[in-house]
Amino acid sequence: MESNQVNLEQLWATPRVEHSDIKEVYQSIDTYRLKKVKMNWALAIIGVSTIGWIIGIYIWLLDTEFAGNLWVILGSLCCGITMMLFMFNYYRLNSLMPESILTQSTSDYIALLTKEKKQQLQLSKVWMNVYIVTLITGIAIFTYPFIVKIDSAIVGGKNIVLMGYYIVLGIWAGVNMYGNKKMNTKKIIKLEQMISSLQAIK
Amino acid sequence: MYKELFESLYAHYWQRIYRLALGYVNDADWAKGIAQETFVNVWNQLPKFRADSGYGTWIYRIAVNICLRQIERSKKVMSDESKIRQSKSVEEEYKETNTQILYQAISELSEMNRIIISLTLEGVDQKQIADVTGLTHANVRTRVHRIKEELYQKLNNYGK
Repeated sequence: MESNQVNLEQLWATPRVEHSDIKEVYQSIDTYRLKKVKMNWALAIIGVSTIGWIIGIYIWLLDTEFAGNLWVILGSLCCGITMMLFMFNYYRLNSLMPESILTQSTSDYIALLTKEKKQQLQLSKVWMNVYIVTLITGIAIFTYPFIVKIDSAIVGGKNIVLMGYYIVLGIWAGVNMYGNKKMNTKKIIKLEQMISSLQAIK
Repeated sequence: MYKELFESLYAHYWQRIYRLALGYVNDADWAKGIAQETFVNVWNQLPKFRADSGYGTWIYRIAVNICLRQIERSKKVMSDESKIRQSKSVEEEYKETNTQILYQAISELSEMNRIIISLTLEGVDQKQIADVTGLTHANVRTRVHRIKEELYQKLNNYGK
């Protein structure tokens, strides 16, 4: 094929085009919209359930010695605030429509990805650990008055039960912190790979 | 109101975006996915469009950014030589073969060059390409010239 006979524009426009169907695009739009609606509902249900659970526990405890107990109140507040903060930040960081789509240039896109990487780093190194620790602390504080009431026939009795309970809570916290660290590390590596590839493109 | 505007933009730009995506990934299904994703984004962002640029530049910019994100999916795009030969009439086969060779040659270029040449062959002027890609007009002009030389060379080598 001789170059002076080739008309690139003509070859480019030669019909090889997939027939378009706007209905498929509308279907994708609906799928995206439903995903967003489901996510909002999931977050709303978690939020409402958390508040409902706290209120429900108080109503249930009203006629008991635990009503008005400082440990129970503090523990509930701690857990409730942690859950709300977590949901707020999760929703903010995991937007389904990345802003990057609208950036003008590769440089802007790299800047946005770098910002997202910093946020993920902050999330994995600081905030996730803070959430887990404060949530576990809230649960530990909340359940303390209940655990000390447990009758135990074993030697050492209540102290052993308390210690065992808090050790299990601690292990659960550790497992969650490790799991989250692993998950966020994967996301960060992916972002770093994208940033390097885009920098190479420039 | 947005629906009518969206459908008119879709009718005008869908094939252009599809060809741009095809030039980038050289895979029909993948290109269709990119084109669909582009128009999903267009639909979602249309109420916020501020006319800082024309609709064309805006839509191409969305499509280009989606193409660049394909790095997440794969380091290489397909250049499937088995797609090149198909049984059709001699004249159709010749045209179709040359078109597929062109798309394969484009898929072998670097990512940004694929986008620049696809937009050029789509008839987008160089100033608009500069707006879409964030490069300077002079840079685009130089690159277009070099890319075309590279493509002619590849097409020549294939013929031998």
